[in-house]
Amino acid sequence: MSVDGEALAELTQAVWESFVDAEIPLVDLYGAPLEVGPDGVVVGTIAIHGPHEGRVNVALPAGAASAAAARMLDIELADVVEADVHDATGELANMIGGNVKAMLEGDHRLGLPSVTVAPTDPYDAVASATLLWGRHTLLITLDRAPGGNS
Amino acid sequence: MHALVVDDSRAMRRIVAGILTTLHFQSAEADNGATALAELERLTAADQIPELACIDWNMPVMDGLQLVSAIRADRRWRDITLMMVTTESEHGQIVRALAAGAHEYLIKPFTADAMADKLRYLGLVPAEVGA
Repeated sequence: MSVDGEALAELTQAVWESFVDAEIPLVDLYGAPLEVGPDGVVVGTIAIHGPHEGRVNVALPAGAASAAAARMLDIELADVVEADVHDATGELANMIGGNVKAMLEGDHRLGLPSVTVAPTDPYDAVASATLLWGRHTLLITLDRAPGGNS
Repeated sequence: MHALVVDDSRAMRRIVAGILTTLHFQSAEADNGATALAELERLTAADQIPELACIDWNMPVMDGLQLVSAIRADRRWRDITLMMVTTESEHGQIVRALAAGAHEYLIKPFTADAMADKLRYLGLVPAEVGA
């Protein structure tokens, strides 16, 4: 297993710069906790199956998720609806998860992304990165399913 | 030039179609392989077979690899250039896609310049466009 917090941070920064915000870079907060706003947190999750059974989770405050969706869909923030947030957050999880999968040893396959509007219980985080985007924090984790190998 | 953008994410379809617009493509969209085949039938009936299809790999209903195989199995669509646009970046996956009939492979995340370079290499974009 060759994925650590630094790798998660770098992958997320690359995805963010390409598709969300090329002007404000994500800053690595090196393990700081996720700051959850009053509207809760949105979590995009994608499963990884193979020698490493687990998930990649992209958690961000609801306000940040809406802002990211507006940028990815090129629409006004006021026009963002729940389906937009789910689409954009799921695609972020898909892109980060796909690149994480490529870094794992052995053959793996991805599931399809899912999005929840409350924190997903972490299985057993084996790597995490906390990143600052403007005034928002994001938490990216790679976890391992109960009984899963690493 | 016409393109078909196939991705289950609406955000990603907008991003890819937006880049293609700057390269003078008109894009149709589909959210999985099955709807892409239906859209290709519609475009074929309208005599607007696209020159390019940008295809995600991981999609519900019918994935991108199955779609590439289906397009390659139909002689009406043999002139469509197929470019996988996906997070599946392992060498083995790239080989599988190319063996199934994809012409090019673009790994997410990518830049607009990277996509333009691929299309220029494929001869679908003149050297002076988007440079």
